[in-house]
Formats: sequence, structure tokens, C-alpha cells
Amino acid sequence: MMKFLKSFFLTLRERFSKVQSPHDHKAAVGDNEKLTRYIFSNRYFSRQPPRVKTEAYMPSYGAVSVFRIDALGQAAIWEIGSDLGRKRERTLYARGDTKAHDARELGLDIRPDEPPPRHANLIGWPENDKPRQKVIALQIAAAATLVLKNN
Amino acid sequence: MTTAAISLSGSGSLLTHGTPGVGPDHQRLWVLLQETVERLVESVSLGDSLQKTYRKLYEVFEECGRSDWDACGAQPVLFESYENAKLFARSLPFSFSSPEISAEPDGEITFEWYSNPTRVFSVSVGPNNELHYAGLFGASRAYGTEVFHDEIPEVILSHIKRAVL
Repeated sequence: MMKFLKSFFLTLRERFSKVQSPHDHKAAVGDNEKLTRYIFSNRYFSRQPPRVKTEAYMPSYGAVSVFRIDALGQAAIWEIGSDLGRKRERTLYARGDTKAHDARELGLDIRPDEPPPRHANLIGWPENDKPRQKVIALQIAAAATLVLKNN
Repeated sequence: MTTAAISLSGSGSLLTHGTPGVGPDHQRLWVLLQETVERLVESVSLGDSLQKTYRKLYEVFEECGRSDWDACGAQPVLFESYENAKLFARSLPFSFSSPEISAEPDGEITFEWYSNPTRVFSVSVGPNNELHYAGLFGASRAYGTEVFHDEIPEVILSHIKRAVL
């Protein structure tokens, strides 16, 4: 009887954990996945008109850091960014939301890069070619939606 | 002999080098010209837009002059980039609208003319004399690199006009 109960609870726990976390965040990023870029500098966005600026999507050391936010509510999305801000001792001002295909159709790829959980990098930028990097960043910024943090 | 000149026409820049010159006469004329331009910039009507741009440039330099200013590992804006950016601003035709000014993760200063998400033009000014630019003009795109020696290359001026008109 005890053996059966233990097995039953283990099965139940496994099923429950799958419901709680439907995505394996180390798995490949789907085209329709939502990605967010947390913004810690007011140089990277404009309030009027509200928009993410190109500079936010320029690569640093060949990558742009983003987080995978599918299946997360607003509070959970902000919590990830606020946690980063606390660790880096910076203020989180806003975020830029895009979809994976916005970057892919410009020739970039998205590589999961944990930890921290849900972190990924936009990679595949033209090397030593700043003008081409700029024109790609302009197009991602054009597709991005600015979401301001209510501090 | 030099042909340095101040242009006050609507389409001209405030300061142009004209034909490059050499020798002490050129140096003296150039210094005199710069002093005259500084006085013009300080004047109320002609200098308003440039003063505004200078203030924005200083804010960017102050805010982004240290490493990791974006909390994502950005390089600092160097004094040389700030000086080049001031020269770039001073070389813009004064009839042009005031650009938005920011900085990029590699520490270069950006001048941006924005009409809407698909009509925008951006130029990066760094510590050397290269200007990297890119723009979206509806369905068209443009990007490239130009050399900057006191006068802004015509291709960049025409892209700015395309973005804001």
C-alpha cells in the first residue's frame, strides 16, 4: 500500500511540475516566442513618442541579452527584470517586447543562455560591420513595443 | 591661401572648412573663425538649437562616461567622441531639426532623426573620424560609413533630409 501511494504521489508531482512549467527554457526558441529586453538606461527609450530606441538593440560583444517571457503574467515579467536590477544595483526603467521571428527574419538567431533562467542572446550579428548592425537594430526597434515600468 | 568661411544660408552649416589650407595664416584664420562661430552660437536666435544640442551632448557624456552605464557592459563615451560629436553638431545645417542624442554600447554617440518607426536615420560618432550610419525610409534601407573632416558628407545630409521630410 505504501509503495503504491509513493508511486502515485511521484507520478502526480511529475505531472504537476509539467503543468507549472510547460517550456523547457534550455530548448530551442520558437518563432512565436515573446522576448523582452530589459532597459536600465534612459538612453535606450523615448517617452514621447513612446518607443524603444535603436541603441537598445545594438550588440555588445556580439550579442543582445533578452529574456523569454512566454506564459508569464506582467508581474512575473517585471519581477525577473527587477531582480536583475537589484543584482546590478540599477533602476529598471522599461522593457522592449518583440517576438523571436522579428530577429530571425533579419538573419539573427536566438540562443538560450541560462543561467539566469529564461535568459537568451540574440546572436549572429555581422562581425566588424557596424553599419549593418545598425540597420538590423533599427528594424528590431521598429518592431518592438515599449512597456514602461511604473516605479 | 585658405577659403574657410561662415555660411549663414538656410541650407549651409554654421562652420565649414572650405578648401583645406596650411601654414600660419590658415591657423590664425581658423581660430578667428571658430571664435566668431562660438559668439554666434551664444547669440539668442541663431544659437538656440545648437545650444540645445550641446546641452544634450553634455548630458550623454556625463551619464555615459563610465563603464557599464547601461548595466549590460557598455563601454564609456570617451572625451574624443564627445568633442567629435560637438564638431558634428556644429557642422549641421542650422535649418535642420534638432536630433535626438544618445549613446551605443560601444561608447559611440548617436544622432537620430526620427519621424516614425520606418522613417528614421541614425549616425554614430566615435573617437576617430568615421561616421557609421543607417536609415529606414519606408521600404528602403541605407547604411554605410563615411569619413568626417569638419564637413558632413553630402550622402549623410541627404539621408537626414529623407528621414525628416
